[in-house]
Amino acid sequence: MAVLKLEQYGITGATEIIHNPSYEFLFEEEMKSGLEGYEKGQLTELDAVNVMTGVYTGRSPKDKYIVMDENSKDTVWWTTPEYPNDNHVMSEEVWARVKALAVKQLCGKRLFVVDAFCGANKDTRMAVRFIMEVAWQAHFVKNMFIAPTKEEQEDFKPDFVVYAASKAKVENYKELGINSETCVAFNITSHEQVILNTWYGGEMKKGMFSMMNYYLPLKGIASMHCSANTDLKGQPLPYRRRRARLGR
Amino acid sequence: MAVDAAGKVDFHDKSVTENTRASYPISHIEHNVKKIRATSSGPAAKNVIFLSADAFGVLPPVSILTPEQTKYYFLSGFTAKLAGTERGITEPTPTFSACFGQAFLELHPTKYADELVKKMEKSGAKAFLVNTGWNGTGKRISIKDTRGIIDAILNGDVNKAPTKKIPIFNLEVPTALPGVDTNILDPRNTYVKAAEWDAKAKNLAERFIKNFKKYEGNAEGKKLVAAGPKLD
Repeated sequence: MAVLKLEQYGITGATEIIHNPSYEFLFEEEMKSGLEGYEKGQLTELDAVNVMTGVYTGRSPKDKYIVMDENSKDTVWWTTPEYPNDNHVMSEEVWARVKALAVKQLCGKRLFVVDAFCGANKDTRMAVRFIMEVAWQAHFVKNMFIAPTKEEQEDFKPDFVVYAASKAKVENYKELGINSETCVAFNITSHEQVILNTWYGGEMKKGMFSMMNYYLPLKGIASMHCSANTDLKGQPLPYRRRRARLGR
Repeated sequence: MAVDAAGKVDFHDKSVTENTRASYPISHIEHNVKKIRATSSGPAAKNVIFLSADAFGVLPPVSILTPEQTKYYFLSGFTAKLAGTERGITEPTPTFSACFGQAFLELHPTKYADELVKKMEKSGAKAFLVNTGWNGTGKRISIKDTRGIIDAILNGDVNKAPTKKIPIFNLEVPTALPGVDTNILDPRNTYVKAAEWDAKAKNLAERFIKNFKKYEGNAEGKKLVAAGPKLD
């Protein structure tokens, strides 16, 4: 694999870039001694690695923002006081500030970069590059997204870049006019997501699901929060295999 | 879930969160589609099933939706949570989550409904609203009956069944299905007095109508009001 340069993302001085690590490597990394706080993994009796994510044990919808610009202003379903939803407006100026915070956090660090696909269809899938400091977060996205083949890794051209800076806080959030020190922001024009001050892995997973829900229907593709099942011949599975999904 | 210093897991411990999540690669699922097909994909769906756990005891256990009703019920994303009995709360809490996933929608919800129904019409797929919740008996619809309903949808029996219309919601329901208790198919029959269903149905219909107002900001949404429940 060609050596990855992160300067193109404004990330300078990386002490080491661990690009597309194996599961074995990630396991060593998340379990190694000397990790502090929420970086630390703990092996359970079931051989799964347990991690804590602090106060955010779920997504933080009040801190979710989308940059309002020429492309998004008439397409995004913005929140309104009368009919609230989670799509809060962020200006391009504030975006520049929060992105700079994330980039600054990632500068001069030992970083993990995971390249993966969102979506199974080669014609419409999104190639996503996740950049983070935390090994278990790299492990999480490696699990949740589709791994590229060796050839696809060589030739990987990201359609979207995620800057996961869980350790950075938006200290001046009041000045910036946002909800809190935590920020999960999307820029649909530059194809980037910034995550600040939350360790919850689901911000990356559901973040990319949300972006697919933006881009795909505009191309005439129906996206849905659902699952589907079929047998070898394209027939649905017998009932007992579906029980969990019916909540029964 | 919580883990002690020795790595012992207690799945009943809610002290950290009720929302513990686990993550693993899809290859760990024995029958994942990737193992069966090179591409992780299948043919177009034949049936789309919206699952609603209606704690009000109003919705029929299965309704056959028209394309317009498909959009309406997809947009409404209705289900209900029954508050934890341990806190002595018995009032059901309705949830309306646009397209059953409002938190993840970035475009106006009518766009998703539109694209879904377009695809369904192209492939001839049918949509059903299945209530896995409660009825007039005060009990949850039995697993056996829900199973019979799902089987009837998948094997096509539901398309051959005689049907009737349920008022207020104007939903088409089968009057008999193999393997399903005939008495539950019209939810009114599960009440001692049908008027009790009427009162509850009006209450739920009001909630649907109120919730749907948020979609009426565009022409597509406005047009769909007619596919929803009606009071009067």
